[in-house]
Amino acid sequence: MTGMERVAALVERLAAVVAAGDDPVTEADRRDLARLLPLIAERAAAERLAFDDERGLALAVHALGFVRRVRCGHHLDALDAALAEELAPRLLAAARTAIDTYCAPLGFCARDAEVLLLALHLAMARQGGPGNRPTPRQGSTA
Amino acid sequence: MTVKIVIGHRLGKGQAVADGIRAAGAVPVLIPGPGADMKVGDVMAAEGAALGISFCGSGGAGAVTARTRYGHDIAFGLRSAQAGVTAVQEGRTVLGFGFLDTEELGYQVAEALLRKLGEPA
Repeated sequence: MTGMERVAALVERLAAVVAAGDDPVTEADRRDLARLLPLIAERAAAERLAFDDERGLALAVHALGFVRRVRCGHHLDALDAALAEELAPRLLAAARTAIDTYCAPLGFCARDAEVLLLALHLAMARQGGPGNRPTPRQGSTA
Repeated sequence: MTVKIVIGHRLGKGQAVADGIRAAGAVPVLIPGPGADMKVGDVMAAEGAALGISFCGSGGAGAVTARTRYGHDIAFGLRSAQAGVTAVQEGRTVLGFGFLDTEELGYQVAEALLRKLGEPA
């Protein structure tokens, strides 16, 4: 399966999962995801990161929200900068590169919050993988 | 009957939502640590929770993961407490929000759930 075929298959899985909701994947979403997801995949591959099916779908949902925010010019509120210090700088750089490459032709300047959130997905890909699910009963009664 | 609601926040937050849930008369289960939104379905299963609330930037990753792992009926991309109430009334069991860690959200969602389950709030 080629990279483009993998992206197309991922978008189809995403569309199927969210189809029953109030905000299904549109043609504009498909067009934008077809441009964004390969950019993320390229940076992930350069960092030797692999997304399993589950993490890939989570990333795709996140990407869906991002491309919609870009289309409507919406910015997320700033996030706690301390969190960025817990992430490897190269993951932040990879996320920034993918986002800026996507946004440049659109004249959209994504803020650090978007970079941080994508970097968190990259970080989870690094740690994730089959057989590495979180152990149940991690919750604490708050 | 104890009604548990699991909270998973991408940045490890969610305390204000937990306070609202408790104020409404339900029991919050707050998953600690960054990336907690991805664990909502797992912790719901472990705790026997009636509802999960996932917070991330786009309001969807944790909810979709709960759906793929456990088949939950989800609503995601939610941006207000009222949207959460409506989703509960529709029978959704995992709600995906953007970052909205407020006591009001926890209270209103928990109150709607308790009403739906026939529990006194």
